[in-house]
Amino acid sequence: MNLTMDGRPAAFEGRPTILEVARANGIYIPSLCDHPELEPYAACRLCLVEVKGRRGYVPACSTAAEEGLEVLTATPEIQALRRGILELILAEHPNACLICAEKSSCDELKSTIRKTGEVTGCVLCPVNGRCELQRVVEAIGVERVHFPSLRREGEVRRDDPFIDRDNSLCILCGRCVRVCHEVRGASVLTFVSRGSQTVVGTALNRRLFESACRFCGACVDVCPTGSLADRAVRYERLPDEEKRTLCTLCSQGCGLRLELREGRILNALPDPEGAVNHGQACVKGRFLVKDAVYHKRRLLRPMVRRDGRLQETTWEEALTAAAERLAGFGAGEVAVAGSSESSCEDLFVLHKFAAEVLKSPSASGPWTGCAAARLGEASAENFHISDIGEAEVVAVFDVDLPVTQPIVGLAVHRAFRKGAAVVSVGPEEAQAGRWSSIKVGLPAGKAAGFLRALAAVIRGSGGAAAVKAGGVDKEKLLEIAGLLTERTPSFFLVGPEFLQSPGRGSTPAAMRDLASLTGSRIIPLDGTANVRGEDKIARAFPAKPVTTEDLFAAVNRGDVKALYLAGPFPKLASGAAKLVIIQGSYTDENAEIADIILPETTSFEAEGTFVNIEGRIQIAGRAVEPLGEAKPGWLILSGLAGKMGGAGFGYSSAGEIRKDLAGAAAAFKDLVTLPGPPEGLFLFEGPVRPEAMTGEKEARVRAAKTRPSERRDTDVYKGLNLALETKSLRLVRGR
Amino acid sequence: MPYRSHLLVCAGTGCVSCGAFPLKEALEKEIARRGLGSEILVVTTGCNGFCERGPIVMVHPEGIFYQRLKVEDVPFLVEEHLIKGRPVQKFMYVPPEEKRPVPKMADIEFFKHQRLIVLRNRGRIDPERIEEYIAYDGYDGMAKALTSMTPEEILAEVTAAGLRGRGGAGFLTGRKWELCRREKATPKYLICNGDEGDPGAFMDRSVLEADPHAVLEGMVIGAKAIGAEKGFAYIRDEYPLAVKRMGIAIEQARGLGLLGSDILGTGFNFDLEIVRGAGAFVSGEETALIASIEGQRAYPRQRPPYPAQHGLWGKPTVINNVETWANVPSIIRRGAAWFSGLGTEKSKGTKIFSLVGKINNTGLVEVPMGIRLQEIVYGIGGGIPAGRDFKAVQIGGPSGGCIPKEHLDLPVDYESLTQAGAMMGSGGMIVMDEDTCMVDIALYFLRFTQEESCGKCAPCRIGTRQMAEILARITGGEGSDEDLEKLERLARAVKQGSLCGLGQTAPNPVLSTLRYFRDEYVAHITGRSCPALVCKNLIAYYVEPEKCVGCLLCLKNCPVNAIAGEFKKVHVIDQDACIKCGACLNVCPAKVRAVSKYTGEKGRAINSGLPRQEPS
Repeated sequence: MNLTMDGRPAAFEGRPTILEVARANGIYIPSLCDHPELEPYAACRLCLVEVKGRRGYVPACSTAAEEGLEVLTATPEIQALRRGILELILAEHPNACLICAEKSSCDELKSTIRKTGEVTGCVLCPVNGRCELQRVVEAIGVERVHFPSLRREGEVRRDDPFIDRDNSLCILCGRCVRVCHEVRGASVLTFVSRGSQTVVGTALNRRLFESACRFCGACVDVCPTGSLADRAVRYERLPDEEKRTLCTLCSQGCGLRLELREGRILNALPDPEGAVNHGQACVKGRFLVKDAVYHKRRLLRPMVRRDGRLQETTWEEALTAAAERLAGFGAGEVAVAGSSESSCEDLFVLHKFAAEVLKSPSASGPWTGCAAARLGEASAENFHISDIGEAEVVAVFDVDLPVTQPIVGLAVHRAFRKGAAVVSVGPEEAQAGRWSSIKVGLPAGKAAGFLRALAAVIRGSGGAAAVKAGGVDKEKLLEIAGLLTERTPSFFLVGPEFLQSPGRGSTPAAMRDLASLTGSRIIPLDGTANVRGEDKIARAFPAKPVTTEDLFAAVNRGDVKALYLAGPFPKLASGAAKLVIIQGSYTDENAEIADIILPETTSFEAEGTFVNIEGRIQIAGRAVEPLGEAKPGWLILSGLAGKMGGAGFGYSSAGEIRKDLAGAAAAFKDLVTLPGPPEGLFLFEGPVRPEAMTGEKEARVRAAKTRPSERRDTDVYKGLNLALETKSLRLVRGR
Repeated sequence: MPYRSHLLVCAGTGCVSCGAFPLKEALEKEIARRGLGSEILVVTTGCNGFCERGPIVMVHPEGIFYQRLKVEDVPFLVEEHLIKGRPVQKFMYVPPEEKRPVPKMADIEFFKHQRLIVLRNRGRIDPERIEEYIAYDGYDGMAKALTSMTPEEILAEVTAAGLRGRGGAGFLTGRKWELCRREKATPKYLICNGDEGDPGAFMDRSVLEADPHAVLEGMVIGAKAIGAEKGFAYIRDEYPLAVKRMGIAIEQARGLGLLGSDILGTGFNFDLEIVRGAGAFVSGEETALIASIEGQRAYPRQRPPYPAQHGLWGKPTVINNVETWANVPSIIRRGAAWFSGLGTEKSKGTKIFSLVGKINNTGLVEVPMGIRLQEIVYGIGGGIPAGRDFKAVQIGGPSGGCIPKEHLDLPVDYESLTQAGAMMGSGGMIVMDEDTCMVDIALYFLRFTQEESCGKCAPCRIGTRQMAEILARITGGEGSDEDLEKLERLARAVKQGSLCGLGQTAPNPVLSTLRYFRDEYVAHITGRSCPALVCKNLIAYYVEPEKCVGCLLCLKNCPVNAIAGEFKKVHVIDQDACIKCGACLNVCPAKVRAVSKYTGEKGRAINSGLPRQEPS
């Protein structure tokens, strides 16, 4: 379809707004309250345009484009009106610097005077140089503000972690309120009072921390001024470089833009073009990447234990020592523990090393304790988080969505806003937030009974006893049953802990039964960055999979003599194993008894491929140079394997590994076509067949059911517990 | 046995606040005491409209109009009128400037010229008894619409009648209903906008208190026309009596099967719920009202889409004013031709106006559209009290403008008022005389809009504040030459830029007073004088030495002890202490008139204590 804008034709499809059409055609219409992720608001009135045949002016942000419209965006009257409105907005905002004639020379000479408390001009403002208001003023051109200042009074609120709030800079665009309400579902920020007394605040003027804020940072990201600002970046200069990468602190696979200055990470921002997160993030990815990368517990130098003490050494010495000592053990005496937080490249080389060099029959990873495995399925199937946003019913089984699955949580909230029913089931403490339609508090061990009771109610079979075993009163069961049978599509979002049923392996079976009865899709949700990838890579090798707990037990029994730990592992007693080699990024308890320490990069210091919870394959680019002497895991292992005579380990780039991986594991066969099709590259799944319960599988399921593991703390990254090791996250998590 | 006489005690909010209920009790007690309980019935009704004169009691069947009654008057009234059959003249209405009382309501000028459609039941039924509403053809229109008309026929009738929205915008009601009817989405909703917010407007309150069933009946008819089954009556929380009466009406209508499911056995369902207002002027704006019903902050939303297409919870919604709904039953009952026979070519029917301010007969009047303004002010309103000169009448409240003397012959209809720079609005008419300062009036309205602005959009939130501050400076004597131009520029930005009607019309009082009374603005700015002698910073109170008799009255009544003097000696006002309250002027005996107000140069001279020239 076509319309005319300023005399030129502009084509469009569907039903965009006039503002969207203008942007697509390179025509500038200023706006401060509009945002692509938010519903149109039409409050700043800067985008007013003229449409032939319509009275007055219409806001381009909330007027639909129609065939044949004639739009004028910049007549002299419109420009005068825009200038007038902008002057009014500036009367409420410190504007001395914005309209100062000395602006450009001042910027050059006084670039970091921001350390005062009160912002009286741009040079003192935390977002100087990245402020949208500055850009609009420049575009519209304001030389004088003809009105007296009506600046909002009030102190800057610095009483929360991460975020400073300065109402004197607020222009009441409403974006923060809207993103918190519409997108995040937290509704922490709102408008308080009315008219020119309006301020953005919280209920009862509490701290964000006391208002159920999760510090996802979305409000800071949409704020066009410095009113909501990231405190950590406040006094920093502007970045000189930007790198796109992935967040690997959980399993969502959010895209991040890291801002760097002189090669150091300044700030991590969600990538608006992130395929999974579309500009959203959570507190970890938004505010804690720096803490993770530069933490004081980083392992930065290879170390070898001599005379009872760990001493720093060179890579050459460390790898030679490792190779020599490992060679002293026979096949099967060395066990390798991997991590589902490592990249595909790291994992592939690890498993290859274990299989071909160590001839180790076991390579462990917590994937066997993950939700997918406990469900008794060979692996989870691919899905799109966005599909959950179209659900009619979502049943959440013991998943704290905002903390452990934030982007999935946003999709559930989207569905909820559209009218979906959200049923949240789990132990009382872990109930989902205010957007559950129905809450079911289920004590531990009652999972199977509840699921069976639901199935019984739906089938109309099973009497009062079955219902009673559900542990939930009949009305609620009937309500949930009704939802599941009447509305579709429905999703079961399952956390790993829900499937633990000590003594009875029936919860997974009961869940599968209920799902097939109601036509629901089961989505097991684990919390680590590459659990799906790890699962597929492990299968490409013949090693018998065991859990970390099993391995620990084997060590204590004396069956395993040496350990190569490339992932988290329970605390070993001194002398439990004859040789302990740690390949990791952070010191931990086992480092105290380790014989050799090989420092590994975090994902931000090396290129790596990760498969998120959807099954989506993404490459995380390298953002910064490796710290200290750290190296990517695959490079360490390649060097070690080479010293031990392993063939085919001469990798010098991640790309080379990917080629081999594509050949070795069917799931990755399309890896070489990265970046892949526009909708993303996913793990290859053959035709989906209901899996028969093979002996191997049954063993795995039995293994899963007999030893429930602790609830995994999702704030742990490669052994570093961010919630304990950083003050701000500790506060936010209430630890 | 039928009663021989009915006493109708007005129980509209105005009369209630000056003692209608104690009066009613006193009447009942006295009647019982005199043994007349089975012959005379005392009933409370809704507002009569002549609020100036409350408490009001009508005696039927004679139709005698008693006003300003006190509890002490009751024994005499009962004795004289009800027992001896001699209506009591001293309780009757005496027109201003006249001596003879007018006993019957039908003969009183205030009532004579009115034409009651919406207020047809005022003063003659007890609004808390549905039977009385029904007795006066109540629910006949609804019965006709539900049993013998199709939705299209109802629509056609309302359209042909030419009814326009009475809330202020004047949009053709039939057209709005049609737009909603065409929408396919369900369910559809009906809303009654009872969030009357204009200062000085109380017609909606009156209708809701005096005749709530008229609104109910109208809504059921409308529901059939557009296909809605659920409606909301959004009544401002500051109208507790209206909320109560509407609640009773709904209960009673449901009880008789006139509301709810299967109304009158026709299979048509419609039910209504009351929602109490959000406590702000802006929640009367239709999209803000809808947000409020949804439980959100009462922020207006950009239109289009209009509520008729996308309203409450995104569904097609017809939202009409109380007065609009109350017109519908009569239109259906008596026909479009009858209705469109009243009024002018483009403005059909009648309109209720609240007549307040410097006017003798304060109250509510319902008149046919097209009546000349001067008839309302002088004929019905009885002119300006105390013989002062008419100056202007503000129509349309804070969204409207003022009409000056030279346009008193204006016909009151939508188009004429808009052309003259005013607006029909909800129908508030504030009459002003020569003692009203027009700049002060503009400031008053702008302060109102400023305070009530919701704050969502920048032009209204900041622009009205800037305008109010400029006006405050001007009335404070600190205006500067660029101020008028600044005001006009701001007014344009606010009018063109604002998101909703509140902002878009907020500059109207300023623009209108600038249009007709620019000289007053100029006087304030250049001459530092307030010609109407109102703006405190620009006036001085002065005791004329040659007139003062030294009676000490002003001295004793000055709240800040600013007057010095002794018995039989000339009193002097200390200009530094004087707060310009006017108490001295009020208490100075009429024969003496020693206190004068001065402005401009003379005022400044007095303020600074300089001797002034002796009056010639």
